[in-house]
Amino acid sequence: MSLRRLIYVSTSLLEPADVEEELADLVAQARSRNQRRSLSGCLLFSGGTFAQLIEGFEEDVRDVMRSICADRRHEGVRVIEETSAAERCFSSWGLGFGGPSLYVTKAIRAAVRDADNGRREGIENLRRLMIEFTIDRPR
Amino acid sequence: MSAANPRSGGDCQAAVTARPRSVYVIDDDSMIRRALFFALESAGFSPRSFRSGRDFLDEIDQLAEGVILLDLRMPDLDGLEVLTRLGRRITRFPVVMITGHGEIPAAVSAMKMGAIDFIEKPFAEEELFEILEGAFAALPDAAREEERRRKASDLFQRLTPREVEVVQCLVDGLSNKLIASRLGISPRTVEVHRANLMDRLELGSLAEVVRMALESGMKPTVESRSA
Repeated sequence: MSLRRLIYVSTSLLEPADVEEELADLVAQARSRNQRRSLSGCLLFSGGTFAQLIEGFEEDVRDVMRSICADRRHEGVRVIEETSAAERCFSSWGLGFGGPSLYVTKAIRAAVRDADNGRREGIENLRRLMIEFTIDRPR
Repeated sequence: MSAANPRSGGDCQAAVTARPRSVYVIDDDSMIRRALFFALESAGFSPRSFRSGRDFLDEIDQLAEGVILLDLRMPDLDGLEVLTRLGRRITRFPVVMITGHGEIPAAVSAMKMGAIDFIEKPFAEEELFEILEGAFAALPDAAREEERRRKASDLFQRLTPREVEVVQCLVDGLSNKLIASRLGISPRTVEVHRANLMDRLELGSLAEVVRMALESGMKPTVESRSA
């Protein structure tokens, strides 16, 4: 079976006042669901925007995307990259970053802009950002 | 800095703002220090500049809380090293890291170490001001949190080392039986320790003890984060 990897961006509908709690709930639910399905990847949340990379077997990715698209905690789900992959970028799934950061928000915006223009750089940078947030790099 | 003291009245804006919004610019490049100082002052912030992290850290105890704009690449102490040395003081001195373009690993390291944001040169002043507004809005919360942490950690000073070990086990979610086996004592002794430590802390429930312990900065032994 072949591996599929996609990155989508969406707009949060979480109540700004309880965004921390809601995000924690969302991550806990997604983590257990993704673990069951051997889906790996990374979620970023900043500036009212989600960006998520999700990878796994084709069928699992398709199913999870169906449920993600139906989730009422966000809207405007837009897949900015979808490819088949020889191997995974992530060994598990987790929240890479959640909070207000202009840096992260801009990285997400740049990826969307590049997707609009058929360019790769912004998407590549967004994926690198996700990987950096996930790995534990000794200093 | 100008001679006008923002606290000395006369100026309505200053009276409403109540206290100066201090921004500490730490950069070895004097051109950048000057440019940032001017931009910040014109925008109503109270900037001060330092040519090195060491100069800043030497003075930090005398400084009012405020936001630090920290250059990543500096000789001697670099930005990440300054972040490390700030330690817990980062709650009163939130850090925005500044650097040249395209340093994703450094940006992420800085943010993992507690920097609130990261900004790449050249940047629009509005972007910097947006980040600063957010940082100053969050500062009172951060200061209160730090105060709570200090109170909680003072409270735990009342406990014996053994009782602290018991609290750690409680934070880890262990039952009396498991605590007993981890510490090599009898379950009955665990109960005695628990009763004593709750008396000493003047707390009525186990849940409160655990909450206080977490507030004081105690962490569960087993890391549950999978990322």
